[in-house]
Amino acid sequence: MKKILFAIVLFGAVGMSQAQVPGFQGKRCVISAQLGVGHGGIFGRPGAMPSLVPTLNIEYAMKRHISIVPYYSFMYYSYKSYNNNLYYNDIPAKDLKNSMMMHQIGCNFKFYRKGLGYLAPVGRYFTLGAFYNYTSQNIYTDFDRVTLSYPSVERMHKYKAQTHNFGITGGIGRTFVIARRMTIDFGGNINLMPYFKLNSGKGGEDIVENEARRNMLLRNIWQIYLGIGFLAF
Amino acid sequence: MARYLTLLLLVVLLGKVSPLSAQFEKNYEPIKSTGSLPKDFTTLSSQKYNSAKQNVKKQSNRKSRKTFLLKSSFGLDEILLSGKVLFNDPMTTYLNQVADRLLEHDKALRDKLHFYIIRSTSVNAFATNEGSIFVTMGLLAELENEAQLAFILAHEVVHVNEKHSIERYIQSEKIQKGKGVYNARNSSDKLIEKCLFNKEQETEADTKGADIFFKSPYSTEQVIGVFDVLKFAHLPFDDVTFKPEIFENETLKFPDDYTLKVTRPISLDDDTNDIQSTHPAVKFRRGKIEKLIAGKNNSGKQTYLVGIDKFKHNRECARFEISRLYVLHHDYEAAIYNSYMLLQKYPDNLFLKKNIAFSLAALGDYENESEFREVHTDHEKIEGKQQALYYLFYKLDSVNGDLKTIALAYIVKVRQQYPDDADLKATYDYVLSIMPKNEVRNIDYFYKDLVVKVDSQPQQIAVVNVDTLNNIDSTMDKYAKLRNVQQVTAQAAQAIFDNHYAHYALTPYLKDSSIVQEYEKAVSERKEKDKIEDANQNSRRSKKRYKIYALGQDKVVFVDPAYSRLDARKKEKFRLLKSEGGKLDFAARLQYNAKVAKLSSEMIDSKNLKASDIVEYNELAFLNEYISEKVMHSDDVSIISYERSRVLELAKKYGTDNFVWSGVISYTDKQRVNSRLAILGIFMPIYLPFMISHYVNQGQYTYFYTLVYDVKTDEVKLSNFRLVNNRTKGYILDSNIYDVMNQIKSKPKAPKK
Repeated sequence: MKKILFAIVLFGAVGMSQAQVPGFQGKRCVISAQLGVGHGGIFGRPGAMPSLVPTLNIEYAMKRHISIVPYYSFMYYSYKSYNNNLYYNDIPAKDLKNSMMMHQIGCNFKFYRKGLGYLAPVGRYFTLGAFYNYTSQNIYTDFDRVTLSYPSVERMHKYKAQTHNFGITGGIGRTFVIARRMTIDFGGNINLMPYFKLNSGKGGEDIVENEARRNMLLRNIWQIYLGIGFLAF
Repeated sequence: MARYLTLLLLVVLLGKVSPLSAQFEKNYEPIKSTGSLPKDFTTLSSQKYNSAKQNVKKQSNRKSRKTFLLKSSFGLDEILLSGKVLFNDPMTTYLNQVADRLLEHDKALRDKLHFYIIRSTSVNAFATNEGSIFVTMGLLAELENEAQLAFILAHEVVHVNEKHSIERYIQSEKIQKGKGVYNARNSSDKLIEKCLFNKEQETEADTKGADIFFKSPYSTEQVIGVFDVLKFAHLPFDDVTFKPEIFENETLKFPDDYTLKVTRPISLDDDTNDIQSTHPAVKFRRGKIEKLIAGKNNSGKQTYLVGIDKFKHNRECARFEISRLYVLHHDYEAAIYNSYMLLQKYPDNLFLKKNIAFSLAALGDYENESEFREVHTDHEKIEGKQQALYYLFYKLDSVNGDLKTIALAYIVKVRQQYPDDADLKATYDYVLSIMPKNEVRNIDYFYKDLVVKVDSQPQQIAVVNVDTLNNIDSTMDKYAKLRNVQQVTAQAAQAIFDNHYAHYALTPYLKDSSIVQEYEKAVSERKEKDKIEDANQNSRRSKKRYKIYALGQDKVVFVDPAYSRLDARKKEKFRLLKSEGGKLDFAARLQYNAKVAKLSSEMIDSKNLKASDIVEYNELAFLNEYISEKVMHSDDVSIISYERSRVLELAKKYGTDNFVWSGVISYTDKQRVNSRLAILGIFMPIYLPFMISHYVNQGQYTYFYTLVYDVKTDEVKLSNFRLVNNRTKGYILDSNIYDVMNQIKSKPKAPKK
């Protein structure tokens, strides 16, 4: 509720200050849902499919060629642990999946290409923005060896790592309008998180931790997206 | 009593004999089309093309024929819908009556043809493939009799009947492509070949046209003079001595050397070099027709069949009309001479005086802005007695500010005769407003009384002073002599200035205090206006590249939106069918976006006329003339529009002063593939959006423009030109159109206190 109120106040203030912002036929706000295809972060994971990143955008044209876009993105994927060919495991095979979950909120500024003749919120643009990202990873590892019996039993252990980061983003894209009110938005962006700190759980081992770090570094580092939305007001 | 009755009868008869000339005595009203719009005007060009191409299925050169029909259908509509074509007016009615008599032996052919008068000063007639024959007002103004008009129509009928235009196009294509016998010809030879073919057609049109003419009841007696009309087409309709007294008054007298005593005679030589001409030389054509005419029996035939009165009346109309057209085309000197010739016949005609007043004002403005050469024709290139007029303006241009002074003096003089005329008042106000501009002429410049006797030749006073230089004391040293020369020259210049004729331009009128007050008011208003303009220019320079307007208007009238589709990749770059479709779509978008922006709007659209829309057609014709007259002016010249009262009537009718001209050019350039980007896009997904964007948009441009004219103040309120690097899509247009509509609608911010 607070967020909504904040948005209303922000948009209201921007609206008051810019009486000459035409938007698209007077509509300055676009609410859209995007589906992004991004880098999952894992090198060499089996069948390395890119990750899918759904995003909810609220875009508001604050100037003739600039709009502000608060958004929320979510990413979740899982894949089979490369340690799942074990003799024995006390964890059911179906649960032996590494996973990564990401929540990202941020705010972009879309700069519609004035020189090319576009007006916010339609046309070609480039974006610049900042975001907050929370990511958690579960990685199953076999380091926890039980050697009391013979042959030795390797027990799978869940290694959990979390990060809280701020990052910056930039990209390009284009928005066009169909059927008077519907918008289609496609483009790509690069998300950079200059620093991250791993809050690893117990059971960390160098090799696992490195894998986690690598995943963190590469997760969502690039994304190509396609969005569908509508001109709200 | 019988004598009185005879007199009365004579008066009545005279009145009946020359009712037509009486129409021109006092004033002249430009002619308009009337009645219902012909079907040709209300059918879309694409529909005309589709029905025309049905007939070319089994013919040779199908592709060329189709292309021709496409171009021809659209070309014809461009002429018809330009507003320059008249129908159901007295002039066109007369033209059709002549055509009826000419072709009364061939009704079927007559029914296929449409005859129109077209507003143009050129001396010409032409025919289209579709059977429309156009005669220019310039030609009608020059003709000597009705039979000559019939002869020209007969010539054009042959062009239609023999399908000359399509054959010419196909032949031209063949020559251009170097097909068959034209293989390996250079461009110069190709041009000559084309001209040769055209000349063959013209000769055929002359010969077969003569046959048609001979079958008609028109006499051949005076028809040969038509070749004189063609030969002297570059001259005005008459050759009358021009006297500068028309611009003079009791005190304003031009110096003697402003009058050209001997003018260049009109060359009577026949030009026989027609190698690079589309028509045979007039001499050859005349000779051929003379042979055909020789021995023809003229018994029962007449030179005038529709009537000499009607011919003369319509020719006079054409002469008045071309006076007007010259003004609209910024050919002010020709307009003045044309009006001057008519004034000799109709000395009280207000229309002609207004034409001269406006033309003088425009010349004065151009001279004031140092752009006089833009509208002046070098007198040395002019033949005939009209040369004196061109020479006078050449001399008037020699002292900056004189032309506007002469304009003011003439307008004040005419206004005394017609104090209530709104157009004259507007021209007067405008000239007053430019008097303090650039070459500043305040009211003090004008002498209230005769300081020096005007006929004392002020220039001679100066010359005498300069001549005294010869008597310089020989004992003076070099520098003393030079100083003396400088001093005496300065005195001479001062003497010329003090006695310059222009000081006396307003002397007879300055006793009227209202003129002095109006002049001073104009000076103060100009100063205010200049201040505002300077401030605006400074703020524009310092702040923004693109101006964002807030006009605060509630209603606009869209005038004939334009849409052109060009594709550089195609052989036929101008995509006519798409252009027409685009125009209809663009017009609809304009209205829709105006509605969304809560801006009330009306539209006068040439592609959306119904048979009953005759008023709209005439309005469109007038507004086309209005805008072309406005936009052709040089940047610094901001003269008011010609026929202001007429445009103000329109503003009143539509309830708004804002008339909008808007258009789109959709352009596709030749493709240039960026292979580096393609490789990057394939191997590095991050470049994929760039690659897609590149291939989607490459070489696609949408050029969108809008001009909003305030017809009341005669100013451009909004001018918006945008280039969008995108193919012309609906949302791109909507986005830009709405923005402009929003700027028209938005109220300006209150100034900060």
